[in-house]
Amino acid sequence: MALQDKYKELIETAKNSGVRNLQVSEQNNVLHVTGDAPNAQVKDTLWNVYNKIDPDYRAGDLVLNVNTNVAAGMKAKVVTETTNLNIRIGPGTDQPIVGKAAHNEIVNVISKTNNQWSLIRTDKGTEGYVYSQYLSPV
Amino acid sequence: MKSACMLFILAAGLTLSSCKGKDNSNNTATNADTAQLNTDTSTAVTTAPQTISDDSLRAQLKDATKDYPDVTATVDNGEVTLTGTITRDKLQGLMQSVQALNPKKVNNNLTIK
Repeated sequence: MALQDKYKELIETAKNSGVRNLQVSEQNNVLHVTGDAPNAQVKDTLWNVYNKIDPDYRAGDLVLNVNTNVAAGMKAKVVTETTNLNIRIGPGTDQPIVGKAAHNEIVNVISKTNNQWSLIRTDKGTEGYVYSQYLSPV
Repeated sequence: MKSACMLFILAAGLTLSSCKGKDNSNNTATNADTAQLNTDTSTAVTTAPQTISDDSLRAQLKDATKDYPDVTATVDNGEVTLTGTITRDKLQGLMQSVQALNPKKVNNNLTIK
């Protein structure tokens, strides 16, 4: 319970900002907070609260796994910091790059391959796999 | 007539049992898919931490840390330890990538430049 107290503000923020399927559990002195964030802004807000409670994420007592899950058929925005997002032939950073999606570009999600990669198509017609962390539902 | 009936029953039985076999294999396939989905959205179905093998965690970390060449991620018994150097503005992105893999714990031993 101590950890839930420590991260109370984080859990409350998650509850109040539309995070779905929120789960909070504690195992071996690590608090696991999981759920689906409605968009990248909510996710970043949660991470800012996390960083406020545990500066530079040093304590090792929380795994925050609240992500913006994009699904097949959705449109998604490229939420890289500033750079273009690599589009690859296959789901892996060892796969050749076939094109790029611009920062803030809206792309079409064809399918979600696994917890890391999604198959997308740009409006210009480039199709391939991108790292899902850089996609946010629109 | 009787033997024809018996044959019919026998054949029906066989068909049924072969169907059953097929169903089972289908179920297995579905379970495997579901299991994969769980690592995926662990969020929705399982209570964290789920049991992801160190090997698959290592493989996924390779992609998750690709944009951070000065960072080394090691895995031991479901725990990820990060060493190396990073700038503070990149730290959040890295931690998001790593924690999204739902390890049991993340030890941040990075030197922040």
